[in-house]
Amino acid sequence: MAALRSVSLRVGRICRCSNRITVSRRNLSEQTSSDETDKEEGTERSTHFGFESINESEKTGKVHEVFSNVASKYDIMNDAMSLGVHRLWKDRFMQVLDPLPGTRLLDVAGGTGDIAFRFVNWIKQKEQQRRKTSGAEFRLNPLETDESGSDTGLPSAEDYLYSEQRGDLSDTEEKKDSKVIICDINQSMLEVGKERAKKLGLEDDLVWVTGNAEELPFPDNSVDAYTIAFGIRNVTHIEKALCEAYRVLTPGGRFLCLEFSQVSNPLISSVYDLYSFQVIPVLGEVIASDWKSYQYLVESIRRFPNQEDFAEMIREAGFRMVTYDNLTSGVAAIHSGFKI
Amino acid sequence: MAAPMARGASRLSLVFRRLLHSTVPSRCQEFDTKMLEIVVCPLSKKPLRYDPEKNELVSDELSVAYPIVNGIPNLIPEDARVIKKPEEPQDNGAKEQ
Repeated sequence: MAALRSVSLRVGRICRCSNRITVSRRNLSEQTSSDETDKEEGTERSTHFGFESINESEKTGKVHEVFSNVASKYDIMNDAMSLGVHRLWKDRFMQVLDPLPGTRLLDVAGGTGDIAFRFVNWIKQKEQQRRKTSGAEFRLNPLETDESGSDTGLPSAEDYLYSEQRGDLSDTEEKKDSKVIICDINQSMLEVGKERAKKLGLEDDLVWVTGNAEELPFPDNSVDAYTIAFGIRNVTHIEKALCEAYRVLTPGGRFLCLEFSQVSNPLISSVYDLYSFQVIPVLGEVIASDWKSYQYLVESIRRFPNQEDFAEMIREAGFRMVTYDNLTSGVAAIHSGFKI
Repeated sequence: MAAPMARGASRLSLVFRRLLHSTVPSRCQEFDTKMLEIVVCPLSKKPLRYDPEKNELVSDELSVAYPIVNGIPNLIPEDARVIKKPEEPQDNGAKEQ
């Protein structure tokens, strides 16, 4: 009975996601006429843009404008605003993901490539470690014997078994190549990322696609891991983005999100608020000549759901084993869920 | 005498090539057709066809075309172009035997 209820709950979640996607496709094709009708009737739904209230149909465009304005200075501003701490957060993010060679990663809202570059370097390190380990395994001194007492110096049956478990005897088998796709709604951000990749010599390892997190241009069950770092709070319909994440992940795949969250400690919270509202927009004006965009970025953090509420949204999308870890007392948090 | 001149010419050629590539319009960056195995139409979730003449990814099912900008496919539905189907030629009466 409990098993049936669990299955029906899961089906219910999937159906809700499917319905959302179907309705979204119909809505997009009729969007122009329905927006006009709604405006006439004055019934268009509103949403938040930072602390401002705007029509839902306007949000994507306004967010797009913010990131077009900040793209060229995005990385410098991240360092200035967070005093470099964002790099530690992203390093931790990759440690949590801990991808293995052969993983196909989709990094959404990944414009300038921070997560993608870390993924590529992580995989390369893992592959190097694997090669070193598999090489050392077979370098036996002919005069030494192994535990079974064999004196030939050749790998024993145990060695082969261990290697097969590790995947070293896969030279004759078809290996799944690691792949990383970076998807962002903003072309300017992707172009900045592409230039960075070129300078780092990583251009051949990456695929760049302009797309909307709410309507991903990727097939069902096509990626092993989905990451989104400091992007999901800018999405107009977060639940649609979560449904799309569920759709494109293979069964067993992992959803991982790094995002600003809520600080529960009142003392740290008041210092953080002071810094956010008094310092960051000034930095935005000085470094990027753009007060308003950074005012939006700071306000959007405050409008995003807290750790528990966001975890519940992830569960609603169908993910299981949903957990989160706070970073820097909750200034940021890593949420994780699995498609199982 | 010939060797320094050859080296100089080679360097000049390299500088010229770099300058040329830096000024080539970015839309001319080639699209990697391997991407067709990775992306689909964001609306129909079906495969796309590459049109090299217009440098677009086409969904024949929905008759929409997505632009490719600087080698990056733009697969945002609102940025797609609706493909107008050519009008079918009218028959000028039935053929007589």
